[in-house]
Amino acid sequence: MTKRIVPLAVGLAVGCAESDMLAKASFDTGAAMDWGEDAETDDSGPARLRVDVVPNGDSAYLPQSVVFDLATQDTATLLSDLVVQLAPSRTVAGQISAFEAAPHDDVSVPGTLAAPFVGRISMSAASGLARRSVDTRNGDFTLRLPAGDYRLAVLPADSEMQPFYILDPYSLQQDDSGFELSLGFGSPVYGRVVQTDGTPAPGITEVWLEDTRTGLAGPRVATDGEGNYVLRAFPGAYRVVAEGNERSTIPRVAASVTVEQETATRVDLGVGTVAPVEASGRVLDADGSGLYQATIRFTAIALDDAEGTMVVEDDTDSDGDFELDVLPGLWKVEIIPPFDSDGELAPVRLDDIGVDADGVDLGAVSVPERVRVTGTVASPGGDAIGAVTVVAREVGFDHYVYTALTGNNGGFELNVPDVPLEVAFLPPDERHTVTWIDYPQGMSSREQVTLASGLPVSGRIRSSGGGVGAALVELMDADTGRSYGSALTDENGNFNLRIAMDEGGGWTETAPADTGY
Amino acid sequence: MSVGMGGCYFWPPIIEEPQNVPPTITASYPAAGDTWTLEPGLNKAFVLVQDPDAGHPERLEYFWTIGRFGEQGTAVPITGNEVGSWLHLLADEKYDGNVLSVRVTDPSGGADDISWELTVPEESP
Repeated sequence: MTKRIVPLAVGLAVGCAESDMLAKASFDTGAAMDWGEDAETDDSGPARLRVDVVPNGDSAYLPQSVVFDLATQDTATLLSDLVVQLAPSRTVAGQISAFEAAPHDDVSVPGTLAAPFVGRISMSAASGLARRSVDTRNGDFTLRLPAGDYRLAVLPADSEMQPFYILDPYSLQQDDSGFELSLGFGSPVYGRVVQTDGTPAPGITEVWLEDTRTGLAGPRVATDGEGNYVLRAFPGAYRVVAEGNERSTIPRVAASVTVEQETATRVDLGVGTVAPVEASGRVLDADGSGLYQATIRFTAIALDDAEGTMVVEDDTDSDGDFELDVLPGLWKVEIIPPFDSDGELAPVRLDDIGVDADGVDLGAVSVPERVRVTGTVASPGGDAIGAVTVVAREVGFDHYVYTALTGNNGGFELNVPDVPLEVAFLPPDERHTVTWIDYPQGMSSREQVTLASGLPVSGRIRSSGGGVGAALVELMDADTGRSYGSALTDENGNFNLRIAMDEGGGWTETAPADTGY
Repeated sequence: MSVGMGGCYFWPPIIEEPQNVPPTITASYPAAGDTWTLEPGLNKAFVLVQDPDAGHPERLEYFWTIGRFGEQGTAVPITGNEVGSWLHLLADEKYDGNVLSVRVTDPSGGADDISWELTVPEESP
């Protein structure tokens, strides 16, 4: 049985010391990583290799990741026998109790009124796939995860009354059916979200804390009509982040704050002057017809009178029309047709769209058609290779993927958008190397590709009962999230592929030969 | 009057048309029929497929769709000793309650499919 009692703050909100901060907005939008985002293209090679394993859903094992430090071992030796021992699944169950900082029964006696914890318990490994969360209305919870070390976050639904709490590390090696946690009051962080003239930002603003060390975000609270907010947290370094909800046009701003024991900290956030205006237009397909359900995404480059960052998104209606609220400033606009693998339409980006106090009408915007790319794929020795799957992934936009297959002569034909692409060439067997090539200017109409020499990878996914078959394995740079390639294990848990890495752990041949990039 | 016409009977060579065996999804994550809860960040689903008469297994086509949001554009084929397809999906509340499906078809039109209901927790509890 595990029992954890978080020391209660002695002082209540009304009795806390106060420290005031008037924060200038910062423009940090937080780090983003992984395949869902644009991977960096540093070709110096990974310092750490991450192996994601997604076992067959019928197995007793759960998705998980293992990270290998390439600086401490020989890369070629590691890759020649890359054994991943899956961690068994473990269950943690228990109870979280809480207090409310202000009692319901007698406001003249501030005290410790027990209250059920209502909110979310979330556990996540420092990196990788192992993460799970559950909502509770009475404090009871159960989570099942691979054995390992986690960050356990307690996210109250009412974060004005109950604090945001992170337990890091929480080591789950065996089943833990007696987890108990008593939340104290924490320390209040409060303030206003205001415009330059001191008036509250128009509309509803959501405010939350982000733990600086882990990057974990706490629950959100909405400002009241005067722009006031209150959050509660335990001592530590945080960022206070504010942003309009989906119905209000308020940019994201943030400020750093250090929360101390028994101290109420004031953080006011300035959003400049918020005066929404309308951006409108019509999206047309190649035939000149309105395009339905195209995504319209405005990303602020610089706001005229407002502070912070902002992304506004909407879809076109059945006539291809769109209207959305933005702020005066300079914007990047992405127009993304709905994905259709057999379609011909491509996304388009409009840079430096100026929006003034009267708004902006983009008029009719025709999305371009995809371009036809023909090419050949050859081995390092110059032999044409058939049955190579060509996978082109958009950099930016919605990261759509387009695929083609080479014929016996190594030739392929691909219809892709004329936008920056990351292209993987997936050979049909492990004799050839999965080769990634960046096309920052898009692909040309004719491409000649030579697969990298690379290094062979032979690996096994194991459990206590032997090899784990039918598991998805993906190798990637642990720091940038860039993928080397993926494979499925055979019935014995074995997988083989050849990846574009040299013996020093660096990337090999990740630039197209014919563009000089 | 009756007229008898001569001739001989001829059977052309019998050409056996092979019966197409459709592809079969033999394994997946999540398991068939499961509800898939998308956690914040990247989520990965996959199917493993067998189709002994498809010729090049790379010629199998996979269509990943989510309810009214239609075809998904982030699926990646898997080649090598085993074949299949995997999809990466970011948790987006708009997918909550929708069904994710993948349909695999071979060049002869044979097909198999599998689907999962999606749940996406709200961003803030």
